[in-house]
Amino acid sequence: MPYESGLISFAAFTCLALSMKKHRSGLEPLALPSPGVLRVLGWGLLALSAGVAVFRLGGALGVTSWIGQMCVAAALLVLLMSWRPRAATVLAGVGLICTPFLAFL
Amino acid sequence: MNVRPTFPAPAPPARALRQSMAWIHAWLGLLAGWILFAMFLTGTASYFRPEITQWMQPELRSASVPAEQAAQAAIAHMQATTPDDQQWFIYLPDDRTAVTRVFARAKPNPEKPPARRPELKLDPATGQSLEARDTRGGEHFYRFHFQLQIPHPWGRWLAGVCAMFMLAAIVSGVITHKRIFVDFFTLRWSKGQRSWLDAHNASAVLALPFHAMITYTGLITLVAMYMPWPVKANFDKPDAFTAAAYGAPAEAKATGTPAPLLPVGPMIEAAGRAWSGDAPRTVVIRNPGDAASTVTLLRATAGRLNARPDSITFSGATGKELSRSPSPGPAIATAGVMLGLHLGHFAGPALRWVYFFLGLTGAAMVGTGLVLWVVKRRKPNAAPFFGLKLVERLNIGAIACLPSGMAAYLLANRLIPADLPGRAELEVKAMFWTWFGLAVVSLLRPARRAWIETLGLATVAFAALPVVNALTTDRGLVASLRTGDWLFAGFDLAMLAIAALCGLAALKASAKPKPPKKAARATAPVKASPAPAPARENVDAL
Repeated sequence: MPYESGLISFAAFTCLALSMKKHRSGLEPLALPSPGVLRVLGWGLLALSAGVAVFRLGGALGVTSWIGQMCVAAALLVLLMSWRPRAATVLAGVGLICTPFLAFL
Repeated sequence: MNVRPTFPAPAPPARALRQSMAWIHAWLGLLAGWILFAMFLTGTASYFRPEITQWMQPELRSASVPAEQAAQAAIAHMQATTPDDQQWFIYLPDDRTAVTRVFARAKPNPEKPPARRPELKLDPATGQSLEARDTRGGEHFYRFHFQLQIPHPWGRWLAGVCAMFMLAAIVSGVITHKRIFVDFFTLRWSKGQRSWLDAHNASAVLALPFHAMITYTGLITLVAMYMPWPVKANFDKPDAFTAAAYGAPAEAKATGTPAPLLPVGPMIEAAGRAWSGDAPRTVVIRNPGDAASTVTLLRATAGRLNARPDSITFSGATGKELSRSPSPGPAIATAGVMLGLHLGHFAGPALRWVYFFLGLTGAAMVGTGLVLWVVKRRKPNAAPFFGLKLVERLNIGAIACLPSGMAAYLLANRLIPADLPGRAELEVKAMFWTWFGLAVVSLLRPARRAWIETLGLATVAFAALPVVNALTTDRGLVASLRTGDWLFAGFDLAMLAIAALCGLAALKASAKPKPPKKAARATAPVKASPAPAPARENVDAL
């Protein structure tokens, strides 16, 4: 499964988005951590997605693949959040949980 | 010092800079936008250039064959048919190309220059000549995206000027956009001008590394053409520059003494040892059958960022290694990596799809920018001025009619009889007649209806592709899914997805536009607001 880095950065961007006040409304049933926690988590996951890509593909291809997947993840997240914000949040969590298992596929 | 009191106080430097950048951004983007949209869309399709070619020649089926066998089979075919050629250029098949392709060049004949011979397609396993419908395949989209179907060198120049505008638009756009991080995840639908700005910002900012990379590397790839003077100042002939940069090609003259060409298998093995197991992608044989014959192997570039292949040249008569491409210096390596980043040949399927989506984001950025230019200047309750009408019509022609043209190119491939002479040119004509014809016909309809109807037509055209494919070949979607032919199944499914996308766009265009709530503020001139209020939206920062 070559998309772990993209799934992790999807979750990372979700955290960063939810750390902003204007993206936190309309998600009532979900208990969100505080903005500060989410911001740290988001940047941490973003670093992790870079690490995973470089670990898998080596420096040159890893960084290329990481930036590409990160951009697509961000674009998909923004599209999804504009349409179904709650689904985007849930999907980010599910994707992140599934990532370690997908890594073995 | 006299300060004339009639002058208004100058704007603060930061805001003045932003305003001037906004002006540059809007006009550069507009002037180059229509061509850039076509370049982005056809360039994005080109990431699947070999796959499109395979789909457009359904008679050929891929078979996986080791490089040695394919090379030897092709050489045997050439030796049996045209042994006296000067050169055979053999493209070996790989996991994206089904057949061996050979470009042969006859010996120069001073009395009668030999006719240019078409590409030969050979069965990788047996070397037998294969017949398939004549088509330009994915190569057409690839060539169009930087030559624009305009005679050389004007097409490349026009594409280069547009790319330079694009690069300037990226820089000025970033400076103009003052809420990059605040609005990073913001996309609001059905809010008129604000939605278009959101969509333009999102498609531009979220994939900014890709847009900057693809524009810059595209320019740099042709930089020796756009800026020939450094090379001219230092080298007498362009060939001297090529030799200095990439090593002199093996160009030994034929001796006239016949000598059999040794099997290439051991040479490919030796090259594999030098290239950590990589196979060659291309085999070039010069003066076959002569004592001075050479066999040059070019390394496959899949999996490596540098798109300039290494090469090793062997003597065809003795099998000895003659020369090897010099290990590239930093400048040549950088140029190779830039070319590689642009082409994306290094990318496996996963990363290729990433590239494809990023390319679509680029088309979306250009398209939304063009629409935004019109939406921003349209005044409610006032007749649109001529320029506005012109831009809107060109937008319809460039954005909504091109997809139909591309679908027509693919449809023509299935509908034009496979043995009709000149059919490859007819396919290309089908694309441009549909594209420009539709743009002209759409003039007859009111602008909003024209958007809906041209997008609707694109939906129908793309949705028709899998149907026509199933009716005219034995490789329809059901059959390809059943036999596990993932290339054909994936192609048909991708066409359905594109049809859905065009349909969604048509639906969105037909939805009744809601008047934006803050329309008054949206059109307020910039200098009317004394200080940027914290909640002010970014609608005027285009």
